[in-house]
Amino acid sequence: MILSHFSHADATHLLFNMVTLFIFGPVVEQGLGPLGASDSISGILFAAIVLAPEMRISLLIDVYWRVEKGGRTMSRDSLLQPSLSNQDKPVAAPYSVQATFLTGFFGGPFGAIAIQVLNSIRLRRLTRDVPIWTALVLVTLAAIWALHQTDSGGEIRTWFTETLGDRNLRLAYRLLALSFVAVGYFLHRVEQRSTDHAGLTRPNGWGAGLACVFGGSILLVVYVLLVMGTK
Amino acid sequence: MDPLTPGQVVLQVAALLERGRTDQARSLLKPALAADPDHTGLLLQSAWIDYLDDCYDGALSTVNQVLLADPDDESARILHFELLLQKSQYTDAEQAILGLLREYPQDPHYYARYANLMLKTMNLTKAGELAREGLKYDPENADCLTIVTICDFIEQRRGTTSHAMQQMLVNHPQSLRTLLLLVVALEERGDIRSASRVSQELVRAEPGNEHFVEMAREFRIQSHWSMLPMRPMQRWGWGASAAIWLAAVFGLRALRGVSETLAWMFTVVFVLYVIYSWTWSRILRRLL
Repeated sequence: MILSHFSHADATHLLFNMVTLFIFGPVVEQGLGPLGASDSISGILFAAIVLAPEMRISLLIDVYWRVEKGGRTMSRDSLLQPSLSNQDKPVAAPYSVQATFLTGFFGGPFGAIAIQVLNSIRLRRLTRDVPIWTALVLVTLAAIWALHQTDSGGEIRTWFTETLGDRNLRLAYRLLALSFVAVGYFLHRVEQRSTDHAGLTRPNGWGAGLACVFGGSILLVVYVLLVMGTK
Repeated sequence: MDPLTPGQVVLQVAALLERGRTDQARSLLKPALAADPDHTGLLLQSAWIDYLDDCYDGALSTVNQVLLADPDDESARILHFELLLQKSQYTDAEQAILGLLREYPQDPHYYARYANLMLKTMNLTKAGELAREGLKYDPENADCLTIVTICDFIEQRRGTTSHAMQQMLVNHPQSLRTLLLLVVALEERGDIRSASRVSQELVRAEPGNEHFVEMAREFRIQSHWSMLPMRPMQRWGWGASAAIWLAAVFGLRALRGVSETLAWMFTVVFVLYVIYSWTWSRILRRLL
């Protein structure tokens, strides 16, 4: 009995069944009541067809809404459940787009990441954002290393110098930093716009911005010198 | 003439507060409260005056006194919620509004108030759902429509935005809130001139409102002819700044290949433009 419900031919088979349960399960549960986790996936699929023949299926959007937004619609009972708790610090308004832009412009890629991490902390979404910031730090470290340590990196540097002159690397780092600012804006755009439209007070970005500019610049110089020194 | 009874004073103070005359309301209330300091109706009006004058601590202390005497007073509970919201005591504010919603589950105003709290704590999805739930009980409710429109602005759902805005324009064409939302919608579209015109209408309707006056002034500055070179930044924000900087770097490099004099002139013009972009709106603010 247990085996027949848990045996899958391969990972795709398992994934398909999980997604089917994820989308149609709530419809059937609402119509027939709780069924138990091991009920047959195909049974749920056909029951959903009978109970909600007009139900629209948009797989990616549906998964996005359920995972990211916590469900397409909420019942009145769930709406009247508290969402805030005394244990958790409330969400604080993020540093402005102006502050993150200028920090990235003058502080380089590490400065840009640092101010965005501060925003993630203020918005209480650091756990969610950590993989992205880690990936961007690794991309920066790898890109600088490749630029100075590999033949193709040397060719890129030559092309930059011919196209943009002596200040080419500074420009490249600045462009990288601004692309990170764009990533941060994309991640936090709803919170940034909420702050403006809900009339929340933003923190003064000067202190944090300057700290990130100095810290980011020093880190960049030290790392570039280290990479160049190991050549 | 007989002195006014506390009940009559409460009614007159409430009428004055509706017109925003807090000073007159305070003078009328003072002798009545001195004669009957424990009258909950008078105390509540005193708390509303403090709230409207931004004296939140005093208002909260008075409203707590009222709630101690009468925990079911609806007006006092609403004020209590608003004060907690103003003081950023969001968890307590949520408990207060949930208490009201459980007692009045079909009142759209409470859904709108709860949605406003959710907006302030960046629970955007719940804010929108609450406002839509409120609209089920009153599809024309201005508070709920406003929250839905704001949620649409935040999520940049332009199609839905126009629908929510249309509802506001159709159902509440005279409302200042509709005009205010229209200003935001026009600004979102980058139509600063129209936003400026509508904001001037707001000032005409409420000349004493400092927020409207400041907003109209800001739009007047932003739509001034001398701000035309700032148009890309007004429309596309910091993305436009980055694009202009990049164009300048590549343009300068290209000009250096043609003529050093041209490159030098280009540098001067670009530096002047940068200085203008940082300073001109501030100078204009002093001039206008």
